[in-house]
Amino acid sequence: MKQNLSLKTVLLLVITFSSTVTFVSGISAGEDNVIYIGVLLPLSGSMGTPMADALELAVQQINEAGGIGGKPVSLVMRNTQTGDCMTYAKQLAKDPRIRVVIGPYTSDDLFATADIFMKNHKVLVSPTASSDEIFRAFSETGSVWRTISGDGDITSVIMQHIAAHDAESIALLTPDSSYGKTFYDWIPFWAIETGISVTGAEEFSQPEQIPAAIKELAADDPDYLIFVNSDDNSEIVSALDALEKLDYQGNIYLIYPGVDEKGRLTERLGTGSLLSGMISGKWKLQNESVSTTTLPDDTLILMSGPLEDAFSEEFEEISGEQPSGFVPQAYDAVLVASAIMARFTAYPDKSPKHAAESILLKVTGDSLPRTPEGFQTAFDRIKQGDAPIITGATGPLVFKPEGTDPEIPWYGTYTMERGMVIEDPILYRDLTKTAAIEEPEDSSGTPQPDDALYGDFWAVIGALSRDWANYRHQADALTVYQYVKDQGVPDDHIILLVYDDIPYDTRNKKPGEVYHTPEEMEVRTEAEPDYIGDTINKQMVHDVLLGTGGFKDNPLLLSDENATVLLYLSSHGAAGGELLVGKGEEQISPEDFSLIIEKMAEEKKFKRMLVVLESCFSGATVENVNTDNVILLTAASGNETSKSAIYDSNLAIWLSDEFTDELISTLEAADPRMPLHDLYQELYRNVRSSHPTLVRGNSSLNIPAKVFFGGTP
Amino acid sequence: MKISSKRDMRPVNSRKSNWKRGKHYPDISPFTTIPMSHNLALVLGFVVICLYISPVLAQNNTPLYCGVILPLSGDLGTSGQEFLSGIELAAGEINTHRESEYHVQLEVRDDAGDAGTALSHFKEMQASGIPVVIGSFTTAVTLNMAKDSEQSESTVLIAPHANGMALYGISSRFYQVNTPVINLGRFVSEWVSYTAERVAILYIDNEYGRSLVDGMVSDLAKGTVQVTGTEPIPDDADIDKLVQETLDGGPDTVVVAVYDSRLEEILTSLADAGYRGQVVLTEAGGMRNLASNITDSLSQFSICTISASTSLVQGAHTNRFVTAYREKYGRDPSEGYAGYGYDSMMIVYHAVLQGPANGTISGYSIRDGLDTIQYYGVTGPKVFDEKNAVGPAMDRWVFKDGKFELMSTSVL
Repeated sequence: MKQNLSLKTVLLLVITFSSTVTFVSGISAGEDNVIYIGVLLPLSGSMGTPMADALELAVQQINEAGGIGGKPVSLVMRNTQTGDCMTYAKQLAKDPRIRVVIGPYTSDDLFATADIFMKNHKVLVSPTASSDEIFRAFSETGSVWRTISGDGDITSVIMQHIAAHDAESIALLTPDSSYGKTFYDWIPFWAIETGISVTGAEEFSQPEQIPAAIKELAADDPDYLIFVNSDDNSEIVSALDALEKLDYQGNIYLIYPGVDEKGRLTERLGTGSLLSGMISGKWKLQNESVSTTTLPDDTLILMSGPLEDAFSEEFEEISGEQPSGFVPQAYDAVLVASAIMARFTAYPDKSPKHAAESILLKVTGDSLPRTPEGFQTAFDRIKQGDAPIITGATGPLVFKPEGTDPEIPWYGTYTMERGMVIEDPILYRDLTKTAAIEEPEDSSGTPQPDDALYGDFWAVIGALSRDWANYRHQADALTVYQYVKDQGVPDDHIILLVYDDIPYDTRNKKPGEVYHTPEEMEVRTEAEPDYIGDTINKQMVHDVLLGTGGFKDNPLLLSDENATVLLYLSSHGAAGGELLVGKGEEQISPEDFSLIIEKMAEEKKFKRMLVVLESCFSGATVENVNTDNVILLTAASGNETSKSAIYDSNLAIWLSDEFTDELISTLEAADPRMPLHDLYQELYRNVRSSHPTLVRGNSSLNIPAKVFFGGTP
Repeated sequence: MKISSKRDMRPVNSRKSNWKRGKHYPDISPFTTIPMSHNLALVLGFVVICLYISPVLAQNNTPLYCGVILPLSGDLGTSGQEFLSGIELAAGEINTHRESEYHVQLEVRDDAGDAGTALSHFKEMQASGIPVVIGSFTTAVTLNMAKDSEQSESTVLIAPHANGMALYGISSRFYQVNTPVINLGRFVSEWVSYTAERVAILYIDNEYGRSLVDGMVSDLAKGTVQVTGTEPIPDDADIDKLVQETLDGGPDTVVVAVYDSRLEEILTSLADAGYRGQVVLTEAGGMRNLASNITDSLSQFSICTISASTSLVQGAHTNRFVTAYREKYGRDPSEGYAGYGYDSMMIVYHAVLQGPANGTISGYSIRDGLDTIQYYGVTGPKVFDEKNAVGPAMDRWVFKDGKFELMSTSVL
């Protein structure tokens, strides 16, 4: 170690004494003869320091053999561990020297800053932001790439790993962030696919909430408690401390913990702690600067895959430490960024994102070796117009056809045994949704004698949530409204409920308009909402559907016992099936919901009714409904979330949800006589991120689906 | 030479203090926290206390001529006046002390912050036989005088505050009341090594700044802390650009070694640029103004000062000084330089008391006295090392709740 530190010291003096990073003999280094790459990452602390060393190692190796076309690579760094990410992002975005930025660190930061960089024609390469939403939002833009595997892929591996240990149940605790949301969304999805039950799922926004959440989740005694930490190891330590105090017989599953080969979590004390130590006169004690916790045996871990020895040795030489955290991904990010710059500098009339797409999506030939000479060969060929495969620390750097994500996720699965982290390999399988469709009983149905008589058509279409962040819910409802109206249904037979705060939100760059597809499908200007703003509440929904209460002078559902009715609602759903109203201050419980439907039947509001719910856990919302002639179609099963679908980086907001998007697309493309049964089959297959459910009760599914959307078969 | 041979006969370390290196004493009361031997501390303390509680009767007739060369006008005039006020307060106390047989007579000259002017005044004082001169403020202005002091055996020069490395050991007749900046570098480096991983240093581009940076870089190279950049600040610096260049290295700690009005601009620019890490200031002189002028900016950081000098140490001795100063000048001396002026004058007096029994005051006798005194001043302990500089004693101040608070005083 002493020798390594000494080496590091020498290297640091050579490499980092100035604000630029690496200059090696044989290449020129004037201001105009340097290839600058921005960095927006934490560069100190337990996660940041190894990444900083990895960046420097990659730059050193690139420059060692001549840089890019004879120009050295230099990093312009902003350390987000000790700085405001948004302010730093603006600085890098406006820096004319920079075309590619490595970062940001978190998925939230990426969503917050992506638009700034994209508007300034800069490309992002994140080594760490792994949320699945990033792939869904930015694939095919060419502007956002990452060298870490997407969590959408990783979550399937986690559940396969747990299934391999014969587990039957899991519980889940995640941070309330974009990163955490991926696991909150996808672990239950893959649990369905692997036949494992989910006993509970919680989110935490503050570390102080971890012990109480752990206690609640452990009470159901799941076989594994999957704990997702947001950043530093202190959250894991908090979770382990909480579990130790409980009589919990299961085990914990950790994702990317910062551990060494003996499963030790090391925390460096912050300045505040050291100041306290200084006051007490203890601050000079070395053992006051760090604390260490060891993971218990049988802990399962998913983190970086095994590294080749040569890379570990190279890293240890510059760092004095073994690679940890996101070291290989950070190293690879420099290679990807440099490759983009090699192409961009050769074709400066094309944009950086064009350069990225042209070399990352169209790779050909064998992999070039991960050596300084291999990098040089790659950069030279890239400058000549080729797209060779560069080998990084995680293997060949090949991306999915849509862009953004590595084609093959890179990970390692491990278990703790006798105080050591042991490899516990799970081969990656490119899973698609395979869980068998839940065929509704007697799905062929027996057409009723009066099936041909559909009566009057009425629709109640509502988005129950408010606020800019929930843009997609109102866009969904307005899109369904537009579709129904396009079928020729008069406005007086459509009751539209939307808060209508989106069109004039200050963040809406197109005032008055709402889109379901960017630049293509405007759905607000032609709509005529019947209820907007604070008039929308739980009681009002009840009264409108039953034609009673304080809204008698307003449009109400005036259908009769011969009518065909569509009830479409979009909003947030909570675990347990509550449908949220407004900001969640009111909730429609599964019991409330079944009661409303039952009353509608008693009031003879329909002959047949299709209820469509676009919300998380919507399968649970309808589980108490047992009313004749009511068919229930939900976006997700009872213990999983539904997912958003189309992201508008200009507005920095999701425009639609996948289920509704597929519903409208399928209806528009379908034969007019496609039965409801077939519509459901299509939806189940095409919605990749959740398991839509259909409950038919005593109803036939042979009725043409369009009948329930105002169409004529 | 007589004096030299006498010095040569003494073992080099014989006048070293017993104060231990590397200890840290959170309680900064001079009689309980400074690790000199208890007996010595008590005796010294008793002597100091007796000096100030004795009845005041002027019976002193032997003149003690003392030159003072300070920037009393110009940009540094305010600081120079603070030094002078402290010197005059000390002189007044000596002159009115019943036991004192000496009467201080000050010869005060204004160098206006100009090295040439200062040297000219110094030569005049040497020529007129003044045995001891206190001056000047900065290293740059003091340097030529310090060099010149080696040329004249009759006059000793005492720098009340200047501590650039170029001064350290420059002349056998030059003494530094403030510890050399290399010790500041050690203190800052030590703190940084425990609290940071990536350090950038912004420093004033002069002897003081360069000395500090050289020392820090050298110290930090022994450990694992990475120096991400060292940025000299020229007179015409574009501060915002300089700050951006400083951040380019991704530091988690920025050391700012600046003592002039640009400090405020630098800190504001760092805050505006989004920096939220640790800031270490090496000068504490402007703390009060910073706290009141740019409170919001300071609140963005974890900021502390590890200054090149102690401010006033706590204790009864200092309390009496503060009270007397307030009564005489109507100002608080706590964060200024008056304490260093006061201690410089008192050091001269105690050196004279240590000198030959016949009471003859000369450059020789003052040097002898300076070489042996162990004086505990209002700015901390004053014992000169083999290169005529006092040992390190440092304050740490932390910005908290809108103001700087003294966190600790430490000795290496």
